[in-house]
Amino acid sequence: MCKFCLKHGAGRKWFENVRNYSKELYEELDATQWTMDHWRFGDKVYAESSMGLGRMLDDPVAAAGLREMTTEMLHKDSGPRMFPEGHVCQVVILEEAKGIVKLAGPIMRSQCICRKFVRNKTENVCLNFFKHAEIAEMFPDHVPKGMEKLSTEEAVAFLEECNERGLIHNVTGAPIPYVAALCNCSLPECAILRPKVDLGIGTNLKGHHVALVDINKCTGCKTCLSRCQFGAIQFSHTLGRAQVNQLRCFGCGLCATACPEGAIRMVPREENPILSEVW
Amino acid sequence: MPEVEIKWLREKCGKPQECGKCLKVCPHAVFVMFAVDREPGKISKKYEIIPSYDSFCTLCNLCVENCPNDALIIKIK
Repeated sequence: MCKFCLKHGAGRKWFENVRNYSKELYEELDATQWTMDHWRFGDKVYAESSMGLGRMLDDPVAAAGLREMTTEMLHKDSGPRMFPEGHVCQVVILEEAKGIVKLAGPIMRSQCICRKFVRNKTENVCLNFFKHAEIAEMFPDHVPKGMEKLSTEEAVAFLEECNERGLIHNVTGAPIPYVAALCNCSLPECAILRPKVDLGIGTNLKGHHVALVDINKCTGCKTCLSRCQFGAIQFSHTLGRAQVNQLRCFGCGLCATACPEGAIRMVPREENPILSEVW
Repeated sequence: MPEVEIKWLREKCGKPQECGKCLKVCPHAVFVMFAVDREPGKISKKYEIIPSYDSFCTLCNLCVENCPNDALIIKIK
């Protein structure tokens, strides 16, 4: 279990704790202004704070502490916070994503704002919950055709569709530990995954699993190769099979759900002493 | 590695929210578009573009070639 589970999960993963979906928690966090700022300025904050970050991080003098300081700011999980403090997402597998929509409500399907401001593309694959959705609806840019309310069953079916399409299920703490949304992400568009994957900034946590290929079942078809958006799957031409680089793996499970031989298993990250420290 | 400088010319760019060609053609998603005038209850009219991931630019020049307004200039420093 990750640090947020230990602190906010009450014995379970943080997004399995019913309290983290509640009105009580949201009011305790006094997060209305935070959520307003998220929807009003999210694109601006992303564009401006990412500017030149890559180059700054390449310079050891400028980078000293920058990555760590930014991560600490984003991981601030208590006390009064100003957006984007406390904004952190975590990759989840399909089963976990289904569990999330079973606890969340109301579920509103809406436009993914990341794909909008990075590609000017409209794609309605984001599931916003309750307060986070309510406040998003105040901004017509984000809801050009309004938001679509989904039942739990519809949300579950939609997640299966997204998984088939190869989209990454990503649960949003906004602010953490409040479970504000579940998006179905793609790289490099996702404004939360990208800084983590490309710049090592703690915007996104890896999931609670890592993928493992059963070398006896793998036939070398390469299906998993095209599914991995994190570059964690390597194909050995010598051995004629795929292997997962578990240090790169985010545990999204998209390889496992596509493998025609069922040769990939998702194993709990915490069972591996090395990987249990890699988030 | 050479340093790439990308300039977005505000006065030449039309409406990013109606165009966004540079956003779509860039293989590295260098560009990010954002509203400067967003208010609750209103559709934003003014958008700007920042080459946020300019250190990922590989000089393919697709953005420059596809901009209908010649609003992008790329230089090597």
